[in-house]
Amino acid sequence: MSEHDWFRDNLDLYLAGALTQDEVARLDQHAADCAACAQELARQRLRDQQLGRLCAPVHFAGDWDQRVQARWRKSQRHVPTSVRWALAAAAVLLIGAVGAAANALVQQGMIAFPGGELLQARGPESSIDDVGNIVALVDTSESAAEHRLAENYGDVLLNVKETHTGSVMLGAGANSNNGLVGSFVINERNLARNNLRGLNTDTYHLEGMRANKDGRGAGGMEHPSSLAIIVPEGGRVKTSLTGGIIGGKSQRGAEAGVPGSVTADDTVGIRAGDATKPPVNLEGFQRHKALGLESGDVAARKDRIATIEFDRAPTWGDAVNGKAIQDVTAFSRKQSEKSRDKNDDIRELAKQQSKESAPATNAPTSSPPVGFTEGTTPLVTQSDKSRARLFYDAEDASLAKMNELRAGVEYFRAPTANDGEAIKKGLKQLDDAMGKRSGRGTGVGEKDILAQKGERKPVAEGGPSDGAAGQPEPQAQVAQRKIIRTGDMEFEVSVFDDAVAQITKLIGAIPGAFVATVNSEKLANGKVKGAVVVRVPPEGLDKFVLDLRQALGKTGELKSQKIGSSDVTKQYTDIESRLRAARTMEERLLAIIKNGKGEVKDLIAAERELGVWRTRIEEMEGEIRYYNNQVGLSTLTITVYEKEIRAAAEMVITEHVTMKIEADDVEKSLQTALTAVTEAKGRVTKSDLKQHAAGQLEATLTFQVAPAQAGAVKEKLKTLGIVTHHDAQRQQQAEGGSAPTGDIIRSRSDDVRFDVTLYNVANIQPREAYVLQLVVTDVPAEYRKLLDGVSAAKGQVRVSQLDEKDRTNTFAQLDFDVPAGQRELFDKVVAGLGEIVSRNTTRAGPGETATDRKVGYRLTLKSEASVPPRETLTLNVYSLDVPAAYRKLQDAAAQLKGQVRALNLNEQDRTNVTAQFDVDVLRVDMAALEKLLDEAGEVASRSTSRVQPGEVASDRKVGYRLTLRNQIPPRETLDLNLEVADVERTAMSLAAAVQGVKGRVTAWEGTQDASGKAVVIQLFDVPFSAKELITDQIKAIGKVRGQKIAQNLQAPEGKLATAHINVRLTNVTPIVPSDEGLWPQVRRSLGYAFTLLSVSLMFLIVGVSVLLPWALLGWLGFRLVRRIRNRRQTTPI
Amino acid sequence: MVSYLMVAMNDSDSTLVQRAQRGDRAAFDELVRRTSRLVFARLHLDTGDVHLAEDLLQETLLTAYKSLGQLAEPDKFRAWLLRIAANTAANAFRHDRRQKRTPPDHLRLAAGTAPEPIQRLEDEERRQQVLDVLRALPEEYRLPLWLRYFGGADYETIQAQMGLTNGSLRGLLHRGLKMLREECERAGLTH
Repeated sequence: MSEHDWFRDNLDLYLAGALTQDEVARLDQHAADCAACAQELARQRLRDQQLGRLCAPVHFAGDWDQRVQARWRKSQRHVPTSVRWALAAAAVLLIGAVGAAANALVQQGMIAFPGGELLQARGPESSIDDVGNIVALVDTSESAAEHRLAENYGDVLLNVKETHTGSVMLGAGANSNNGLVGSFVINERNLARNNLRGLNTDTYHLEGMRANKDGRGAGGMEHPSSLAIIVPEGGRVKTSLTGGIIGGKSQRGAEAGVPGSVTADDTVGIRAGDATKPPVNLEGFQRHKALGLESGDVAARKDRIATIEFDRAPTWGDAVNGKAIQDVTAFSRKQSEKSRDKNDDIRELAKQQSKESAPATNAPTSSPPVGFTEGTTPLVTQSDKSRARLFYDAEDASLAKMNELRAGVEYFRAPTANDGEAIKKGLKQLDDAMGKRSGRGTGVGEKDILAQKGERKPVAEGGPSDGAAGQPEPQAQVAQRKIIRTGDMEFEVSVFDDAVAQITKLIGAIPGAFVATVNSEKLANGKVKGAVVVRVPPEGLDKFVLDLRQALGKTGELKSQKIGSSDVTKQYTDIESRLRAARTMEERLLAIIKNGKGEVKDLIAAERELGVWRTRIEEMEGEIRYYNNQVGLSTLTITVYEKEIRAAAEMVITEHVTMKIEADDVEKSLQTALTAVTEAKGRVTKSDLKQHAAGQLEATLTFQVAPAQAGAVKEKLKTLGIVTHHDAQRQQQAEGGSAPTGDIIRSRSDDVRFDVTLYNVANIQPREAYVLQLVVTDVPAEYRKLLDGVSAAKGQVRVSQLDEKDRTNTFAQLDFDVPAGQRELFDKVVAGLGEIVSRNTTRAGPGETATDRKVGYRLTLKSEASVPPRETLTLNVYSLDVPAAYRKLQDAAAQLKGQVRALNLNEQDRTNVTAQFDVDVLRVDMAALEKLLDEAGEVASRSTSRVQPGEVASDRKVGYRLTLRNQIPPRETLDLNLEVADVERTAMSLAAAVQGVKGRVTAWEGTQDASGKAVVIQLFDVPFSAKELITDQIKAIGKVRGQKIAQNLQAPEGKLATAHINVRLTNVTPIVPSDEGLWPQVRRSLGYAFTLLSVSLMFLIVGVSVLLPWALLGWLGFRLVRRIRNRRQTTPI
Repeated sequence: MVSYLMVAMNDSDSTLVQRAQRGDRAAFDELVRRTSRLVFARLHLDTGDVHLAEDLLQETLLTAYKSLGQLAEPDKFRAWLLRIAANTAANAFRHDRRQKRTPPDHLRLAAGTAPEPIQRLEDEERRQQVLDVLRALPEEYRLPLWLRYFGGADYETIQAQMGLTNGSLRGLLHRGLKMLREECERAGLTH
């Protein structure tokens, strides 16, 4: 390569600065030497520069590295994505938390807005009108749309309606014609809600009144404190408010202004909140009792309470707006000037009787229905049904003061027809209390009332003139009654004269009384009897009678008393009037005679007539005098007599003998007795002879003999037979009249009376009887043998009965009496009959009729079979072959001639064969039977029962109650829970093993569920001897999860002993299987997730709603500030 | 700065990469210094837009920094970095969401004299032509030539940025400049 070629080839590298220094020098050298090459270099350099310029804008600046580094570092500072996510999550959480907090605040009602209480009270509840009256409130029921607020300025009243929902409706209205004005209706639904929130300090409870239109709600206050009335904070109340405050319940009860005792049940207070205006809203209500107006400062002026009573239902909008009160005020000022010196604080001011015929509707305001007249004229209220009354504080009733009235108004329920009378009564009482005469019911008009008012005077100054005039009248009426009182009394006293003296003394003490007459006479027995007639003024009679009874009662006795009265008013007045007429006639006649006119004949006739009339007059005057006398003094007749003491004249002794004699021959004995009586010169008053059944004879004999003969007769009677009863009674009786006391009383003996009964013993029970129960082998034979024996011994068979129900159960009853001499013989006979199971000897009581000549036997013969054995053995026998044992026993019983009582073999269940075998065998055969039982099986239990000693039972026999069974209770019960791999196969091998040791599989039950869990339950019975072996085998098969061993020591041991093994085989299963599928769990968690999501979303939305306005506000503020700042910067100053 | 200086100029790239992988910020800063122009060149070649290339450079660096741990062979750091740049550019095109980018005054490139607007338009057009010529060249020549003309880099800088030995770069330049000259003459860009 030539130097030129090298030069051109490396020209690019040269320009790029890639050549080494040597090469650069070489190239520079060549360019200096070769012009063409130098030119090529220049051209190439230019081209290179051209290209470089073209690309120049992209050239890296000198500080490229720094800039890249700076920017790189800045980008490094960027928040990493993870942090951003975390921040975002935090922001979301913050928003959510804000939302949750806001939500909670709203829910708890803690977000209060300015004026919140009004907002809450409002709605249907309340409003404040222009003059500051709170005119309405109340209902909080759902149907808020139905409630309007009363906003009729100034004269707004509550207009409460009962809505169809039963709640309260408030409305404004100037129309009272709906008849519902002034009625509150409170229903229960309001109760819960009326406690308006946010009004804690000034919430008053309003008592309601019921609408009265339909009379339905006339019950008055429905629910105390059921409504709230709102009084905003202190100074804000300008005037009054309608509605009420329950004095008793309001916390500011004193301020509520309801004077006196206001009960929650019947009052509603209206409070005038402020001094500037009186309660203007009083008119909307019917009311009939006092409204309390409390003036001024309540605390200081508690004793000066004015009471207003409005009784009318005024026209809506007419006299309201404070006008009535203004009038009252004006009046009270003037009135107070007059009554300043009076002590009465309360004065009736106005009272107006309603005019029934003048309904107060829409009376014009220009002629106010509430008015007052100067002077003493009271406030007059026109009303339709009731009345108005205003009491005021007379002492301090200046206009200014009255304007400061704080009024408490009691609203009572609207009066109903039923209430009317009560109201009138109450008002009358009120009137009386006020010392006024009621003007009610007179129907007088306004002017009349006013006129009457002028005459009225307060109690303090009014004299008792009216009362004094009227008082005597009732007394005169009492005096006009003419009553005559008379009486009779009878006393038994010891001394007559003392009694008369006492009567006289008592009479002397009574003014105007005297003893009229005293009669007395001496009786045959020397006693005195007499009568005292006294005259006593009627008013003293009762007292006298009482005194007399007391005085004479000490020594004597009141035997009878009769006090009577008769009303003669009619007769008296008749006579009086006739007398007046007669006197008139007399006067006329006298006048005729005096005048002397007319003919002589007439005059004579008049004279005669006059005489007749005078006679009549005198008669009548006499009658009147008599009546006056009788009426003026009561007549009491007192009869007194002395007591008499009676004594007996002589004593009479009477003897009475009763005898019962047992005789062999009754008839003969009776004859003997009669002969004896005749010999003793006695009197036979009764004798009879009766023959009863069974040859029983009875004779009765009643006779009387002289006392001297009585003893002989008695002895004679005793010989007749055995005296079984002897009774002698002596009696002494007083006889005759009144022998003087203290004398010796004579006595005499009367004839002795005998009552004798003679009888034979044919039907008399023996004194001693033997009651025997016997067990005999052949009842009928022994029975007949006995009967023969009794008849041979001349005994008497009383009862004989043979009952042969069946061959084994025969029964005989034989009661017989034999002569006492045959007793030993019969004792032997009876003992030979058979086994005596019971023996009882009875004796007749001493009082009973019985004889010793006979002995009684009461035998009960029973066959052997009918008597139970005394001893019974109850055996439980286990036998492997029950039927065989049963049959063997049967054969044995037949062989031993046992008495089989019950037989039962039950083979229904092969594994549980039972047999019942009840047999009675003779005691001697017991051993044979026991041996048989030992062969048949094993006796598991043995119990012996004995019949109670008192009961009939045989000792010759022994009873066996055998129960045979082949189901032998296990001596040991083993529960095994095994866990094995293959349940089914294990079960099979177990069964085989059990059968190998001669055991039995009694149950085998297997289940397998869907989850693959298999359970097999096997029950084995194995011989007790093989128990250990088989248990070990079973345990070796699988894993033992549980085992339980129970031993029954009562079970048989020995050859029949068994063990019971319950095996429960399970395969390996999950320890805690899920009881719920996957899907329900997924579904439930999805549900939770969705709920949580929606709640979170809700919180987020609320949070955003809370924060967004703030963010917006902040952003706008920021923009504004920036703009202002920018403007400042740009605006030249 | 001390640490920066301590990252001596003579440390090899692979050493720096290993140190950066251990969390040495200074080492990575040095790596950035050594390769930022190259990456920028690559991005500019791909996009033809200076500002976009600047943004993508930052993005590429960020990606590289984050995924430096994945680089198994520190020797091939440059190739790896350029691959990231290519991917980043490709992503940028794909999403076409690089509408709003950092203002141009962030990274002021050396500007020539302020030519007239028409001249500017012409220059811009020819510059794009030069870029097209560069793109038409074989892969290995593009970056050194771009650095040479667009980057205005001298030979040492190119060598440092490319991480090549003297001989390799010289050969590349020798052949690349020749091809470029021919292409430019053919395109009428130079005379």
